[in-house]
Formats: sequence, C-alpha cells, structure tokens
Amino acid sequence: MPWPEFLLILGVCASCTLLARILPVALFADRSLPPRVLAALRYIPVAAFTALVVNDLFDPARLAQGWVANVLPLVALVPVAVVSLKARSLWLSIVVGCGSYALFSWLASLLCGALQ
Amino acid sequence: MTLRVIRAALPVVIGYVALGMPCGILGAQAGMSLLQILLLSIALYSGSGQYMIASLYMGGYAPLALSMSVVLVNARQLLYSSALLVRFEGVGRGRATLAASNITDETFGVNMAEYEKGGWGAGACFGTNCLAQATWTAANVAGAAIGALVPIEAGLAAFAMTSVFTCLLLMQGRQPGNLAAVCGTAAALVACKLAGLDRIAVFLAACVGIACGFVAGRRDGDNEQGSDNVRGDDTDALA
Repeated sequence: MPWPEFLLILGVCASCTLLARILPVALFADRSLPPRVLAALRYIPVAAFTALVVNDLFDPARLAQGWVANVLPLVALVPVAVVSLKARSLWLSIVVGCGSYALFSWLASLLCGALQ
Repeated sequence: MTLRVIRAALPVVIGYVALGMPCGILGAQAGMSLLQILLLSIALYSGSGQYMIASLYMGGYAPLALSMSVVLVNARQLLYSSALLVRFEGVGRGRATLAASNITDETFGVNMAEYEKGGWGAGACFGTNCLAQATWTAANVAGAAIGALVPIEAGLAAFAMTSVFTCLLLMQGRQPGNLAAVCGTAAALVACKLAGLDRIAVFLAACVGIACGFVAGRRDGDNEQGSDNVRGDDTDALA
C-alpha cells in the first residue's frame, strides 16, 4: 500500500479510535457523576455483550448461503450456553464452542453430502 | 497479581492468535508491508477495523471513505470507556485514561468479569490489555510473514470469541432492567442490520438496549440499588 494512503488511513482510524477509547474517562474520571448516569452506565456490559453475540449470529448477507451457514452457529451455541450457565468459565466456553462448532460443521457436511 | 493478569488475559490471547494471523494474511493480500501491518496493529489495535481496512481497500474504497467506515464501527468503544468510569472511581485521571486507551471488545469483557470478582484495579486492567495487544500485534505480523503456512479456520476462530461473549452475557444478572436491555439490544441490532446499517449496528443497538434497561430498571427500582447487574452467586467461578 502506498505510504501516503496508508498514513492517511492510519492517522484517521487510529486517532478517532483512541479518542473513542479515552474520551469519557479523560473527561469524567475525576468527577462524581449523577446517580441516574451511573445507573445507565451499569447497563453497558449487558447491552454490549448482547449486541456482540447477536451481531455474530445474525448476518443478512449470509442468508443467501443456505440454511447450514445460518443455523450452524445457533446450534453450536447451545452447548456453550449450557456450559456457561453451569460453570461460568470463559475457558470452558471457548473449548466447548470450538468443539461443538467443529462437530456440527462436520455433521452438516455429512448430511449435505448424503442429501446430494 | 501478575499471575492473575496472565490468567485473565489467556482466553483473549488464544483468541487473538487465531484471529490475528488471518488478519495479517488479509493485510498482506491488500498490499500492506510488514511494517505497515505492525504499525496498524500497534496504533489502531482493532480487529474489526483492521479486517475492514484490508477488505475495503481491496474493494477499491477511497482511503477517507474507508477510514470513516472504520471510525463508525469503532464508535462502540465509547461505551466501554464509559462503563469503565464506574470501575475507575478514585483512580487518577492519567492512570484511568491509560488503562482505557487500549481496551477492546474482548478485554472489556474479561476486565469486567475480573472487577466482579473483586481485587482488580486499573493497573491489572492495563496489564491485561497490553498482553492482549502484544499478542494481537505479534499474531498479525506472523500472519503476514508466515501465515500461508499455518492452516487456520477463520470461522472457528471467530466462533471462539462469540462463545466468550455468550458466556459473559449469561453471567449477567436476571433483573428486569437487564432483561429489557437484552431484548431491546437484540431487536435494535436485527433492525439495524436489516436496514443496512451494519457498520454502526453494535453501537446503536447497545445504546437502545441501555435506554430500555434504564427505563425498565427505574420502574422496577433496580437503578436505585447500586446493583452491578451481575449474578451475585459463585463469583469466583470465572477461570
């Protein structure tokens, strides 16, 4: 990539992302915030994790790729949900998630092969 | 504490090795040199951002239009920094700003989980972030240099992170405010994506969800209890 183009992309993206990361803390870290604001801030984790999960699972662009590509992540996430609720371990969620994704991908390929 | 930081960062570190290498490969395919990939990983340090830069550049986007798309996607980082405000109470402005400077989706998640366990501070938060960032940078450079030799299933690597976010989500409390936040966020995200607002969907949907949670929580009295909105039982189970 030519350096002038690269430096423009790097400069804009990196500076704006850094601002997004530090601005609220840099502006308000030493101030006591109103209780209503603090109450709203406490909903950020649950909203952010929901958005990230649903964003990974729901992709309109993937709908054209057939049912396997769309249903597979949902099915593979069921064992992850069970283990997460029981054990509450990030480690275990990764292991079970990768295992179930690989297993269901393999089963789906077997099923598609058998149907053809 | 060092050991705890390493333990906290490890799930993210493993995920970043698996996600960073394909990102480096894609960067190299987009015509970036090793030095450019290194600089981008250090200065931008954003998985979704770096994937977008490579793919949009290959798609013929102008640098400024491409950069604006990345900025929109990364607007969600405002939320993480805002949420950390609650945790950084009493920490000096300088230390707090430094600890927030390299937060990501994944490190935000593990840091919030560690804060729930107690005994976690801005220094440990920054240490976790730095470990993850160093891994991300090394994985990107390695991907660009030797990535073609290592078979990595990108779909599987991405699903590992989906699993982590699912686990973090299920660790949140079940009070009405949280449930309203989940429903509001999910509905808004699907609506945003159907409307073609993919790039800002996570940020917009989370904002809608926070508003839903706040309104439902106020009706239920959750907001006045100073609750941390996380399940109170068995808080030491995260490992």
